[in-house]
Amino acid sequence: MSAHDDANSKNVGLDEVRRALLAHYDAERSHAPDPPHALLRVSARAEATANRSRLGVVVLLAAAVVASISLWPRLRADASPAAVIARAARDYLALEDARLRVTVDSHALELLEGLLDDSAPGATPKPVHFSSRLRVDVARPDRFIVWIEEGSAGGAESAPIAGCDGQRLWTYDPDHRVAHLLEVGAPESGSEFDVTTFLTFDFVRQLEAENGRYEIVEIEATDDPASGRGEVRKFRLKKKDDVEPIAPWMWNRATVTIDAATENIVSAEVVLRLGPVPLATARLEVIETNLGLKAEHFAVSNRLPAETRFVTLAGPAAAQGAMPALSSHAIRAAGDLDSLSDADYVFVRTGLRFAELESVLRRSIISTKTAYGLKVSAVEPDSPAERAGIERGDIVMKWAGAPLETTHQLAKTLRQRATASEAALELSRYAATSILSRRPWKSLEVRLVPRPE
Amino acid sequence: MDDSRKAAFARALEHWRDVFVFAQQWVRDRGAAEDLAQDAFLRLLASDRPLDDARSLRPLLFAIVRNLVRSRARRHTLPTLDLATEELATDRLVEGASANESPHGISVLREECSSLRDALESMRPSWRAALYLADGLGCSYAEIAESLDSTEDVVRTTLHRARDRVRSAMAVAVAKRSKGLR
Repeated sequence: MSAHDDANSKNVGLDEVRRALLAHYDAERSHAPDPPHALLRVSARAEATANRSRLGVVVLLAAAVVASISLWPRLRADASPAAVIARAARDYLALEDARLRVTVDSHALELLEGLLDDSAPGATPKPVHFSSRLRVDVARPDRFIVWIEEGSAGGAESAPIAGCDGQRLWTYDPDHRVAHLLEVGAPESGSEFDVTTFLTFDFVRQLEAENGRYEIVEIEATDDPASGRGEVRKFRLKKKDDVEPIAPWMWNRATVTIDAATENIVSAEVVLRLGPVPLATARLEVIETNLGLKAEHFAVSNRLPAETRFVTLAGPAAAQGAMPALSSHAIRAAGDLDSLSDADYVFVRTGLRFAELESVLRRSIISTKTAYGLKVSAVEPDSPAERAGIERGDIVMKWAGAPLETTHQLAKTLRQRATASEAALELSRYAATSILSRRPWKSLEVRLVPRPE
Repeated sequence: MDDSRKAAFARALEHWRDVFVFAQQWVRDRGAAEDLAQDAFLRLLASDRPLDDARSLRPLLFAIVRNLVRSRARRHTLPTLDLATEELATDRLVEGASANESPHGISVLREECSSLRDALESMRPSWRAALYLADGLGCSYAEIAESLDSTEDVVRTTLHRARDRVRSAMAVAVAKRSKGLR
């Protein structure tokens, strides 16, 4: 700040600043919208409502179904699933006209059409028809999936949009490819859970991005010297702090195969579940150095109607299995460095991405010699890492003399040194020249200057 | 959900405007702020937490908004800037003052509001949020620290820096006013 500015600022006292801010915030508050009708309705203060978005409708429907189903043992004998959902739809969607038709087949209900009162309070209701159909798959009273179908009967596409697996009620936002949990039932901090029942569709990518949030506490792995392959059967995770689980897709069981010689993940087989309902089996193959899904490997379960397609699961991002493509400059320009994940922070400072989960799994193979080290999954062009000579596939064994195990550890080190101070790195690089190589890994030392904060 | 919890949630909704404006400090977009605020209330409703003490729910709602912002930033859902909201707020301030101000005064008032707006836009979202809690809602350091998952010392430092930045931005406009310049 120049002296001129400094002199000027003496003309503005702290009280004046506070008054100006208070006036500004009062103006913002006076311009704030009223609470949305969805919230008012739940609070039982609602009048006739208009739901603003289809997702809002589905959220309330799903919540209503759960709320109704939770009363199951106390319902009368004529309270079939169809009747329960119809009543919930009337109550929570403000469907004024009794034009709900609900049919039931062996394991599904279908809400064919309904009317939505979309008018302003006090005005004459003008019924609006749904443009889509909702279908509910009920596996058990407390386990269901809500699908939305759009388009004509011949060319309809369906997508799951909400569900309950007995513990969590979620909705799926196709724009963000994530779920919004309405019920808290996910594992809490410090809890341990068997990953075979909790893995999500984006599991590997998410764990790579959420370094430090999960730790592997137990691994069941085997090593087959005859084939030269190691196999991780399953592993248990411990959640370190309270994070929001992301996607509703769950892998029932994942078998991960790691090549003991190259210490790369070769493949994984999973059973894909949507909530509690087993839907498909999938085989994952390595794409670059990350696991990804390829659409052609899906085998669709016969529990679903033939016209159902996993179009959202096999979208371009899923098929490529690629990490988010934002450059470090774009991430940095988004704002607050303090709010970045450990992985993004390390990426912004160094240009490095690590395959952390893969590194942990690799270390679990009995035959591996590396007790620590993080494998580099990506090196950003024109970054400090590239200038230091680091290549994709290298394992960073030590950073500034300290053995490197997690991205969280590295992020913590870098955050403590906001300026660009050079660090000495010890790398292992796979350099086998033939299958008979006895020393496939060579050690390197490089020096890296991180970008300043 | 029983009637008493519904009634308690209705009382919690009295914090709606405060939570909406808090969300707006992070995402600077009216639609996104409304989504965040609605999400926060839904999560509160879905939790097991008792809703009887409406006053204690406000810092919790702020904390839920902050967590939502962080998790969406991790998924690279970038916030957008909606200048229309800020300009509307300025217009309302000027409208309120116009009865007592000369045309020159109104012009300077607009410039002061504009300087304040520019200062707020140039800040980190966490600074804006802290300023709103302190100078917009009169929250204590402890409340602000709880809402932002920080410490009181960090909150004090943040507020000092943020107010200094506002002060510097406003100083230019004030100097012009005292010299009678347009």
